[in-house]
Amino acid sequence: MAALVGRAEQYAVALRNNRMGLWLFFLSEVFLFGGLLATRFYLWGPTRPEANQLIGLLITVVLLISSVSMNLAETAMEHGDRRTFMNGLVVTALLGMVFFFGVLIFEWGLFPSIYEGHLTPSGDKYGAVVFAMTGMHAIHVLSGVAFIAIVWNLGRKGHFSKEEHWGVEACAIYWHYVDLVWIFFYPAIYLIGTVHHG
Amino acid sequence: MSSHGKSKAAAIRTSLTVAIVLAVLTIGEYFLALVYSGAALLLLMGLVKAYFVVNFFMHISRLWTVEKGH
Repeated sequence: MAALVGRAEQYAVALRNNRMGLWLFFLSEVFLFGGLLATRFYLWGPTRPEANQLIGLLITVVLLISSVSMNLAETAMEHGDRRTFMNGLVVTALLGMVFFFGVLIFEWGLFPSIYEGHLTPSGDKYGAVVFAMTGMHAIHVLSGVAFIAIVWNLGRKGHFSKEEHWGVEACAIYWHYVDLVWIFFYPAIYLIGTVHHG
Repeated sequence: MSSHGKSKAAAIRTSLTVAIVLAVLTIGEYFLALVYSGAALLLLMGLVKAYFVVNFFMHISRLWTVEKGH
């Protein structure tokens, strides 16, 4: 009994430290994404590139829904519902990939047969900043999907429980952080400023 | 009940309420940008959305709550 209490206390201490570590990591990332946002406002001023706003809204909504499915997956694990947890992770990863390919197709124009993009990374300040912002964000989306895949695989093997699921919590918080960054990138790229016709 | 003290139904209700608030604000931003191109109001709406994500999805308050595990 004493050993069990000792283990629970150890886990609680580790959990507090892990949470603090993860938030400190996010703080360090604020400087990265904050620098990109500052670059956008410095170089573009009160203008923005010509971009399809409806597509911007659609991929934003996809990312928003993925945050909800991730939250539902985490809530399911907190209540011991492994099936909903696993399904929630799959839905989140799929929506993450939809967002990722949305960026590749509609913002980067990598598939001209589907959508002809007009921005290039070396074309002008608009292309350079859009590619830097969306590229850095897309790398985080991809790493988030990889994180989800790892947690899904561990969950499949029976890891995590209602009482101990730090890995699930960390994965969920990371995913929401990716969404949080987009909350500011979306208006900065698509909404703020008057359109610059190049 | 989870160790965070909420029933599953209550937690799901909170999630869905936050999702609706975020969706309304996002669509609001879109339509606002059709008539207004300034940064202040749009970034303010972003800050409100960020509050909901950080508070309800990222559970920032767990940083300073004492729990016995999850």
